[in-house]
Amino acid sequence: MKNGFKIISFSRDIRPGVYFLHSSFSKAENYFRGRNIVSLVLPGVSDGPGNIVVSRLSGAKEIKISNGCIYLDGRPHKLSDKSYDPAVNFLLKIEGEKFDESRRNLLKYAPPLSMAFIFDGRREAFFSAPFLKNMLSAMKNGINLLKKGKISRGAAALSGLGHGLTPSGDDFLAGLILGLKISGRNKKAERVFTGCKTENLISIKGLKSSRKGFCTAKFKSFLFALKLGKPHLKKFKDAVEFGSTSGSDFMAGFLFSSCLY
Amino acid sequence: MPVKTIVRKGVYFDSISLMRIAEKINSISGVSDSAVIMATKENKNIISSSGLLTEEIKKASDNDLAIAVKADDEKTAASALAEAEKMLAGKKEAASSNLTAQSISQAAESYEGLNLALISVNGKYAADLAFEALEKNMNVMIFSDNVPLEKELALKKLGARKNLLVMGPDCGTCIINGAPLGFANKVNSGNVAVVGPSGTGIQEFSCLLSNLGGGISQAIGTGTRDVKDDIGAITTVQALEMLVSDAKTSVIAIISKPPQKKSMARILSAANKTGKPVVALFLGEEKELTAGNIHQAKNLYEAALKSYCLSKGESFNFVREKIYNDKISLSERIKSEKAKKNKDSKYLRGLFSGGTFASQAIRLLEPVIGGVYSNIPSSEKFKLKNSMKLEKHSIIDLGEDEFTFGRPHPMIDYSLRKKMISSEASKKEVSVMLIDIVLGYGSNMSPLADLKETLEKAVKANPALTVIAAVTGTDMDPQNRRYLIEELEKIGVMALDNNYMAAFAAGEIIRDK
Repeated sequence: MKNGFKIISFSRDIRPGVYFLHSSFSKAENYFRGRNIVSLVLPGVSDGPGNIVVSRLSGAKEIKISNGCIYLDGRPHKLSDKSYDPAVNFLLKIEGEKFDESRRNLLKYAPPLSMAFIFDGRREAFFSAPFLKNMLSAMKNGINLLKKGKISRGAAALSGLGHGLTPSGDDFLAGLILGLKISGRNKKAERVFTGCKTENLISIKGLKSSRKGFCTAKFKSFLFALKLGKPHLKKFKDAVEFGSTSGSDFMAGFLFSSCLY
Repeated sequence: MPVKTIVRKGVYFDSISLMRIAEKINSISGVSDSAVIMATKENKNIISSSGLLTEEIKKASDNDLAIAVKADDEKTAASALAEAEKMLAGKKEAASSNLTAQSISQAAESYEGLNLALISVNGKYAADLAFEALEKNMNVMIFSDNVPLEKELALKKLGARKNLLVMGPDCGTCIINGAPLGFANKVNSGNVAVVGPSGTGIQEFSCLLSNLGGGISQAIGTGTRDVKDDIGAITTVQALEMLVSDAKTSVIAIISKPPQKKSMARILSAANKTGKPVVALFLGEEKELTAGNIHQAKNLYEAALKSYCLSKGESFNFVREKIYNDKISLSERIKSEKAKKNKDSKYLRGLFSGGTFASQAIRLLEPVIGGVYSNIPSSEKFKLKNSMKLEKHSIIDLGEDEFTFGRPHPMIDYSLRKKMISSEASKKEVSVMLIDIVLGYGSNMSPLADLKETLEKAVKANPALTVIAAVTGTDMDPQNRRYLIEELEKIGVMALDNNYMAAFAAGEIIRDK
């Protein structure tokens, strides 16, 4: 272990146990236990469900969380006194100007192949290759099913669909579930969740977190700004800045929840 | 138009990286379409509808990266794939901890300091690979079975000459310097080494010891035939000799079926020469073997308890007290299970995935409930005519070749056992059903999800039935022993973390019926 390794904060929803290395990236290391994921993340990534914010990545093959300590390949480090509560403890309806401004920001900042196309058909032109056109068609099919009220079928159609470590469809559905959850539409959120068939562990982590009404600190900060009706461009940009397209896909799903009344 | 594909297993890239690679490939002249994407079921549908699906991608899973290229000709497709590979290799964000090599020799040349090869291939190829590994000065664990006996002997003689261990063939379990290999559990590190041919026996022993608070320094599987005189216990003896100089090891346990005569003599002599305390369990051995530094145990639990005592400087009184207390703590539960029996419910059915567990259960139960029919009986008169048709008291080992031919081991694949649980539970005469659930690396990763519905239905179908599950594992295993036991109890299963106590409970419930 390199010197200077420090645990800065950890999420309160993390369960004790031994977790094994799943995947590692330049800013995060993911560890799994059954179908649960815990991530060691660098400070820029944000506090979030299942996240332990650390001063540097560990390179550990397995971590054990037990009795206020985290063991990295057997070496103990005391968990920080600072913990993060991932729960969103207020209700919020996304409509009117709140919705319009967020939608405009999404269309401005989302990567070309994100699911932001659902709010502006012109973005469909980015899906130019035959394979991408077929992908777009499958995504639109899922969206149409959701719009028609066929929630579970729509979720099943989108689940596991798209590029990246967490497929776009999974990120979209996680955002959708959170949007439904924090606007009090728990039954609909549950129908979306039960429709998801993804086997991607990191997607499952996101979907489960949204189902509980959990989100990252940056997304929560964005929600606060929305609730207070304050200008929120900076917070919006922070909120979508995770993964490559994940943040934008999540936001697209979150905003789409307002279309499902 | 030709389509060429590559699947890379268990690697993860961010979406932007993959999109850029796809964009780059699509820009190559002659490429008409491509996909660079995780092979989820839904994505495979899109790949298929785009005419990019190949057999290789069909077989890929959610956690595999699929790259497909459709081009005007084979050459263009191949060069586009090579370009994609090159770009992937250059991505620092890639996460794959697995080093790869095409052969043992290549691995030895590419990665300095390799000293152990785990071989798990069709048995007819395993010996040649093992010879290659020994030539490269690697110890060998041969997971494969069906290696000819003469080849096993030649391998072991060569290994002994080079002071290298040949663990196997048919070696299911090892823990070497803390690294679990094959079917093995996540156990505490400690000062007890265990040696023997019994894979599940070593698993149960190491878990019991770890759960007691002890720990394992080395677990050395020897292969099932090592204790036969044809082989002469070469690996067992060699392992015992090596453990003499292993500073981490202060106590040694041997877990085995009774060795043949010459092998037994060689093992006892080597055990004696270690100068370290040795706990010897030769399951079914009637002769008294305790002498000098050798402490005989009669079952896996006693072996673990005695090893624990020796490793912690405790007196063997602890062994008796612990077993007594464990039995007392089960007495109320046994009483209430007995109370729900009716006149029809009188027989035991044991459905085991571990041969040592089945064998131990038979030996523990026969003095209490009488003869037990089996595919691995204690005497030929109790040999089941048809292993699928259980009669009276029956215990079967579903890990025997007759059940595993062409299908995964029952520690991984529960499908056959689930069928048998359902059919046996529906029979009124069945009073107790005894099963084992082995956790750890290599075993079924979702035992609860896989068994829950079957067990729930079994308990409902026959209210007089007692289902007892012996769980081999630790709380550190990926499947988590404690969680599994708690969840099994919730659905009415009597879940115990110990094969010995499970057999005891089964015997007490059936006794005097």
